[in-house]
Amino acid sequence: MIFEQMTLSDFRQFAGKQPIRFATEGRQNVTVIHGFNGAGKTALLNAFTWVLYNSFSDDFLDGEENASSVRLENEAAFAALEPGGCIRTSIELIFRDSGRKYTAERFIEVSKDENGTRRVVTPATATLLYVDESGEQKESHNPDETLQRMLPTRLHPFFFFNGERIERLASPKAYQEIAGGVRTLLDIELFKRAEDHLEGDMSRRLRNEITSHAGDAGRELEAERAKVDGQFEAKVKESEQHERNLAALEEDRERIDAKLDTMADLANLLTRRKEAEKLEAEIKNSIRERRQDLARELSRNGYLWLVPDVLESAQQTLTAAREKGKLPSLYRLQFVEDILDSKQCICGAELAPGSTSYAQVEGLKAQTYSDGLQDVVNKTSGGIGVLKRRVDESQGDIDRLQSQRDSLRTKLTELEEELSELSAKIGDREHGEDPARLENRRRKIDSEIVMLKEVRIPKVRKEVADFREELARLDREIRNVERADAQGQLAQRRLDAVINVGRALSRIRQLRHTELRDDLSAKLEEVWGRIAIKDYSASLDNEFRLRLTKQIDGEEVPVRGASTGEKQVLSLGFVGALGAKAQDTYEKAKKSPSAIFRGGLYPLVIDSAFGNLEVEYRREVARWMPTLAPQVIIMVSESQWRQEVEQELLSRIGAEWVMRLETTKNRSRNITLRDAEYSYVISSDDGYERTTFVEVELG
Amino acid sequence: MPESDSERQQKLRSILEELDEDERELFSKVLQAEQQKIHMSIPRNINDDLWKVLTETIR
Repeated sequence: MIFEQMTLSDFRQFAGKQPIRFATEGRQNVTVIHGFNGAGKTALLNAFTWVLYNSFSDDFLDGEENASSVRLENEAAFAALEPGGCIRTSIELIFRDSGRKYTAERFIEVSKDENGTRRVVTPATATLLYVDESGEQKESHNPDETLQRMLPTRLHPFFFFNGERIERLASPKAYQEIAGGVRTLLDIELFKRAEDHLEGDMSRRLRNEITSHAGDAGRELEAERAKVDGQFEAKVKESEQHERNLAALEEDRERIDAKLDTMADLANLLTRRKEAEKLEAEIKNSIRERRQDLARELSRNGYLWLVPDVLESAQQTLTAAREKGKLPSLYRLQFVEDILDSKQCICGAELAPGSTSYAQVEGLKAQTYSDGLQDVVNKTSGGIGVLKRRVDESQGDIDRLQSQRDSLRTKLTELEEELSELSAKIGDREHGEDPARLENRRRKIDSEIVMLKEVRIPKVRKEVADFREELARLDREIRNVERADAQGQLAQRRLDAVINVGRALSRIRQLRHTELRDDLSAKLEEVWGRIAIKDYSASLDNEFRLRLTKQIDGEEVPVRGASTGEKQVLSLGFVGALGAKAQDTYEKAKKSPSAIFRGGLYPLVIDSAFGNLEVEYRREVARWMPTLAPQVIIMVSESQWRQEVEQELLSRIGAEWVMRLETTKNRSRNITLRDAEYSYVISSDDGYERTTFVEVELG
Repeated sequence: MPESDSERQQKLRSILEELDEDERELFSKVLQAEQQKIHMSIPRNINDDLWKVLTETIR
């Protein structure tokens, strides 16, 4: 989606028709709009969100609870309206998307009755026109839905935002928003939904069809499967809820730690606690490893512990047989049978059946064993010794692992005592009420986290796995039920196809997930590394949570208490990485018609783009901003448009505008842009404020 | 070390090659149907759309 032009008609400060043209893609892809405080920068940002989504930002709503009660019409235009007259307030936006040109318009009609009261005649209504492949103009029957499809509502906070508030993306509260944005924008959500729908309703319908063609046995199986499926779904939901609760508790604990970190009195105690907690996590991990080693050893050699008597008695039997001369046998059975078949002894004498010599040779068969038995005797004789040695070794290994585990458990108990003591000291009221209250809350959170991590989550995970196994068993049984007719067989083929496609979707989604995490992290790190002054690392974790970390003793630990400016840079970096990845995917998809992932072109519209940033950050952000997206539209006040920003952006600007504000106060001033003077604020001559766009000559 | 684009493409291809022709067609039509409703938080009638796709593809 690339914006070409917007026309504001009697919308808030913008009286009459106010067209503004934007720079589109290419090297000069930046549009800069200068405006004094109150000139309408936020109103312009909201003009975009209104026309596309029928929504407004909280600061624009200004206390109004819903968008429909916001007065959008220009005050002067409404004042000039005769009783019974009507005013049409609208935003028209011309843009391109996937090779088509669109004109979107949203309007509202308001009238003034005989008493001068405002009445909404036509509530907010959207239209969407486009030019199709034949060059003919058409109207979309469902404009809101078409617009949603191009840029879903849940993505708009990433592309239309106020730069002074963008740091919220780096807060734990925005984790879900970010993860949702990445999933939707970069196709993971699409795959997940397809998987869920195939595994859910589609598979259910097909199984019903199969079993309805498979008699009573099939119906019984299906009823059982439906019951187990219900239990499985309930457990999956429970498991997801536990995970969400755990994430929320961990975020709460992080927030408490950040607050405690700011209290100088506690520095020493907090450092000791961090070290102890780190050690505690390591020990728990080691105990887990020992437990796994023990389980492995028992599964490999545990059976030998149960058979020492059998080994002993087998050895005694073999020894006794050898002592009695029964072992080893002098002759092989096959050898004796071959001689009898050939009717000639190895000494050359003839062996006629019924003769004495034939009977003597035949008598040797009683002293032989079959080849199979002989082999078993040989193997058992050799194997018993090996097995007895393995029993000894295994017992030694298990003793060693158990002793290591016990010693780790003792250390863990000591550490837990130390942590409890530290917590009591941190929460001591001698440090004040705040630390005591925070620490008390932290203790409660800690115990809830332990309960979730060590009891509830493992339990429900096991239940989910058990139900999954049970479902797989029932599916195998259903598959084996006789299907009497072609309809049942067709349903089975369809179910097989649905299962196979579902698996492919799941595997591709996992690949995409890894790809996005890696690529977005790399891009974020690149941008952050270029701009940030501090030696922190920026990345996205596996759950797409935005992380700022630093190296301490060779280990990555989260940064606590990052400044607002740092968070703003991190958030901008994330938005940029997201847009760049979507664009990269889009460009690749354009070259390959069979591409699975679509991506897209998304513009950035930023109010107060350089909000609270320090000079160093401003320069770097300005240099890098035009590379963030195919199109960048920024609104700035005079104080935000500083020398370093102008220097960096000048060669990338394709359109530049001044919002000339007419104010009721008697003051006026100019703004100097590209060595020319432009009216910035002027006095209104009719007692109403209004704003007009004035284009800056680019030269 | 992130994988290269060609490694990723190779993995993707090998997953799709495990599907037979009908299944590949189903795969692509299912994604198209989902794409049409991705903007909806609860995609209305999506199961009917998918059922139509399935019954048309696997006959």
